[in-house]
Amino acid sequence: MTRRSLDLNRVVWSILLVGLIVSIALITAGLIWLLLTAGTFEPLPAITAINLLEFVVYVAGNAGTGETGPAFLIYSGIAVLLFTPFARVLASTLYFALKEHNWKFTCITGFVLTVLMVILFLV
Amino acid sequence: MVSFEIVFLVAIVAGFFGAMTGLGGGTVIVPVLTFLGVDIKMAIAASMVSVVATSCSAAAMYVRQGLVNLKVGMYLEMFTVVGAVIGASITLASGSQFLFVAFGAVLIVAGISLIIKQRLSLESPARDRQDRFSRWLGLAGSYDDRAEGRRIIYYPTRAGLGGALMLIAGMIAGLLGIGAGAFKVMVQDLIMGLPTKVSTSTSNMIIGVTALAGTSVYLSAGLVEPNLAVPVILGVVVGAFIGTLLLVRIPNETIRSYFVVVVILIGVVMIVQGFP
Repeated sequence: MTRRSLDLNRVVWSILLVGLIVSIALITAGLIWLLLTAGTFEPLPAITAINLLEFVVYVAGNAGTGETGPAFLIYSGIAVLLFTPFARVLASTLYFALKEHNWKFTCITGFVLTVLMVILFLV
Repeated sequence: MVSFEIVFLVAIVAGFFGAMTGLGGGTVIVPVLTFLGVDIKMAIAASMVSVVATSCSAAAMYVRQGLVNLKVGMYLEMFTVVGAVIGASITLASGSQFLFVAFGAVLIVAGISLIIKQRLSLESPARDRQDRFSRWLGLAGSYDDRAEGRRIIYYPTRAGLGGALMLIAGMIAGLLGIGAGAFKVMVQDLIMGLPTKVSTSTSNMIIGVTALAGTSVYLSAGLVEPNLAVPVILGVVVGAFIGTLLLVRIPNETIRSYFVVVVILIGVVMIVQGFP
């Protein structure tokens, strides 16, 4: 394996690991907070029909506000989790374009990125 | 609605079974949740979110070990993300009976194919010749095989056919809220000629993005119920972790086959449920 592909391996590995750890930590912290304040895990406010961008805006809008505190942490964890594979594709596209100048794979990862952006942010 | 604690415990068992069989937690969590009275579409949506988590965990480990062929994975993702959106859209438009039967059929086929593969060691030998398209994509790769103590160089081929079949694998994943790893591995193994270690590892990376595409459809439809999704995410991750730890201590394939038989039986029950 070349040094370049090893670099991309490291980028992908870092994103996946950090994303997973942060998301699980946020969800767990939110649940513990919920248990300590409400004495139960339920119920969390429903997520109405929204795309991921609207979901993130909703989460940010409720940041740290009284009753929604634990739910904010939990939903932040879900948002981080869902953004992790997206961030991996984004980073790969940038890597192929800016570091490797591999236009074939810039187009391939760019296509995946475009499909994800449409369904995550626009639909 | 089933309580948080019960869903969490069930998800741990599902994650454990998923790791032991290699089929993923979604193949067990969806049927079990429906047995507990959860609507199958909500179970599929919750499972789909958990697949993102288990994929991140497994893929990170395999990428670090240098087993994932990133180019093969990213090429195949073009097809699986589109397939997942189509599959999830079909789920939204389908009735529960169809989903029960489809899920049961997929479990049975995946389980039987795993047993056949274990027994017959169905694995295409690493190829040293590529078709023109695969060569043009530059998909060749290599990895250090610790068991054999040497570096394995391989040359994936038939990327066009592999991509087309991955569209179907993506559809199955999006339709049923599972990783469909068994199908993805089969396509990479038997069609594209990747070594099994590479196809298994690369499949785990593909599954995450595929699941994200499916999840977005379910999120937009309001089917991601946090009181269900949160315990499923945590439980499946914990269960998969325990399963993976035990897996390396249980080398006997026969024991794993028993778990696969249980999955096949769950598939039969699902089909029966589809015909009330």
